[in-house]
This record gives sequence, structure tokens and C-alpha cells, in this order.
Amino acid sequence: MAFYLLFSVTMASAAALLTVYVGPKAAGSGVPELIGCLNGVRIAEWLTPTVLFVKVVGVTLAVAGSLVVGKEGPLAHIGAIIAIMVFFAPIESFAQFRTGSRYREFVAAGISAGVSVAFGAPIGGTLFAYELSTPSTFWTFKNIWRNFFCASIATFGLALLVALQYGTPITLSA
Amino acid sequence: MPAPKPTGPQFQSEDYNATSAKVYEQLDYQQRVKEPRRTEIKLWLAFMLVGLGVAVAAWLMILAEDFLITIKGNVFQYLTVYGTTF
Repeated sequence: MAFYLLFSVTMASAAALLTVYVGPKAAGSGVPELIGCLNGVRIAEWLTPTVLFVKVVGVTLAVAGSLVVGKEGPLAHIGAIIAIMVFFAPIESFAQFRTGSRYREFVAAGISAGVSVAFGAPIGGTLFAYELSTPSTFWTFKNIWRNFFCASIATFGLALLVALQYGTPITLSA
Repeated sequence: MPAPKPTGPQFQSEDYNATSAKVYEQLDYQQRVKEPRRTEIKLWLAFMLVGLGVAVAAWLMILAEDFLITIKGNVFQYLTVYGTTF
């Protein structure tokens, strides 16, 4: 009992210290900020590799420490950061996409991929991204298919990696 | 008889819908515009990269969680075998 308590306190403390001192912008689930981001609010230094690192390590420590926290919101934030890293990747062909509306399309794609890997549900992830974008004037319905493709790649990619790791058949369970 | 011309500064009400009208004009254009095929392919490729990146990140998180939970289980088992729970 004492060992479990010590382990959980250590993990939770490590996650909290990492968030406070390295990446304060990683605090919280990130979903309210994503709604703001999709509707034109620019939050400084919120979609950066440092925040990605703190979010990934912090959520992992919190879940391993048996805290009652979900991975859905953080995974949406993680997906958005990865999408923005691709958006600003030093690839010459992608330079033409760097506009305000495309920025939000990429963030929406990251959200749908993150939620779909959390639940194993690409359609659910796509609809979640649409739900967050509902008041957005930048959402176009052509974007739904691209989001669904992105969410499907993420879900099947994760299922494939897990199947290869454990040597089991591919399943889409969360 | 026509109304007399007002004297002094003239005012008119603000067009509060100007901004949203402009945004919706752009949205309408975005809904209708057909991208060149090369641009579409690049976009779908970029979105595929996003999907792969998220899958790898989620897999690394699963690996790390499994590792930590295994360590926790092993240490607890060790303590139980040696007759103490810390």
C-alpha cells in the first residue's frame, strides 16, 4: 500500500514539476484552447515542441501513477502540435500552405487524429474536430474527407505498431 | 417641399457586419474553389504525415506506460515475496 502511494506521488510530482518549470502551457487538457485556436485566437508558444514533450511525458507519468486522468484531451493537443510541426516543416512543397485558414485546417486534422487514436474511432475523431470548429468561419466541408483520412492513418498506424510489438492480430480497440 | 439640407458634421451608422461579410465572402470562395491536382496531392500527403506522427507519438506513450506499470508490478511482487509491503 505504501509502495503504491509512494509510486503514485512520485509520478504525479514529476509530471507536475515538469509542467510548472518546463512547459506551463501544457497544463490542462487543451481542448478549450483548441476551440479558441480554431476560431482565430493565437496563443503564444502553445503549439511548440517543448509543450509536446511536456505533454507526452506528463500524461504518461500521470497515467502510470494511477491518477484519474484521461488521454483524450491531451492527445488532441498533442495531435495539434504534431500537425503544426508538419505545417512548419522545412519542406519546400508545404510552404504554399502557410496561410491562416490552412493553419486551422492542420490543427483540425491533428485534433481528429489525436482523438481517433485515443478511442480507436476515426469517424468519431473527425466529428469531434468538426464539433470544435463549429463556430469557425474557416471550416470547409472539403476538409472533412482530409481529416477523416488523417484520422484513419493515425488509427490504423497505431493498431499496426501495437500489433507488431505484441505479435497479435490488428484490432482497432482503444 | 424638399427637406432642408442638414448643416454641420454628417454621421452615418457603422456597418457592424462588414468584417463577418468579408470573412464569409472568403469562405464562400474557399468552398467553391477547386485546387490544382498537385496542391491536393501535397495536402493529402501532409495530412498523412500528421496521421503517422500522431500514431507514433501515441505508440511511444503506450510503450512508456507499459514500461512504468511493469516496473511497478515487479517491485510490488518483489516486496510481497520478501514479506514486506514497504
